[in-house]
Amino acid sequence: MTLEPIKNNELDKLIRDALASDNDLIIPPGLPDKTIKKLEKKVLLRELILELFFKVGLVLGSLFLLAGVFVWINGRGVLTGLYTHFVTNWQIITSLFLLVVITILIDQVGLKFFTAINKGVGLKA
Amino acid sequence: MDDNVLIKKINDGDRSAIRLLVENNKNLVWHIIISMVGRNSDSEDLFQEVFLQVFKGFRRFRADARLSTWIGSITHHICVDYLRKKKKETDFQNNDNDQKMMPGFSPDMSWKQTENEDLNQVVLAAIAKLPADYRTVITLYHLDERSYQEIAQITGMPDGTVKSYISRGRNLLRETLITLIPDLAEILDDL
Repeated sequence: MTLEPIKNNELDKLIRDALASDNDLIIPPGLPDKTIKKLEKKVLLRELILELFFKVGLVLGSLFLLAGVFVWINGRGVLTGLYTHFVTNWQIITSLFLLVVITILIDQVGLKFFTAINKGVGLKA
Repeated sequence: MDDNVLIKKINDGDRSAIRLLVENNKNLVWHIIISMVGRNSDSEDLFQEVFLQVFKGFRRFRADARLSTWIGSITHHICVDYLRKKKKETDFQNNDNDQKMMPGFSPDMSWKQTENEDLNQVVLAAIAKLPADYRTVITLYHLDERSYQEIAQITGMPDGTVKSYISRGRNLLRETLITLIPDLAEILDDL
């Protein structure tokens, strides 16, 4: 097929047609989907971590509230007793605390995340 | 959908909004990457990196620019960083120019005898010879139909520089095309 004569002001069209025909400028199929899945994983992970922080905050808040009630009823001596107890048994308490944190992290974030990813769900549609 | 609504939906974990964000901007991002870096094994990683950075940086987005323009500027920054790290810009120009030379085209041919496809290859070869900045603004202007202002915001160049790059780029293209196909002089001389 031979070309029709090109008008003087058609360099724009010439450039546009050439660029549109460039295979390199055509996005590889599957790349957008791969990117979307990566972003979805990020969103899911962020949601799970936020949820975890919220739950931890709720538990810690309740504990502080409970401590406040004890202090209100029994006076400040309770706090000194708790502090002495912590200093004496800090290794056991720290180990238990770490164990609880790791367990919750695996259960609430790790397992939920991988289950959701494998099922392809877990985000608001 | 309004940019701010889209961002809010993405922050709320709305999967359809994430898809919309990528679908609406994928061509712009890909075109900037290819015009600046070229098609290589890193192009797809750069594409994904752009959207991850966009996702991380939503708080930095100001509504005085379009979301797509902001995404374009992030793409431009990422490509500049990539080129700086790899020091690859010159290699790309040198290596790619020859690859873009079209099969079956002879410089003695009249442009009237040139097939559409071949002519496209000639123009692409000429575009590939341009410096990376010229190539980028010309791609954004002609293929993505972005305004001077938008291109300026994406590339971080002043409006005047963008205009001058497009104008000079077109002149360089015209000269290269006339060198490759002398017959084109009669129709491109008046530009």
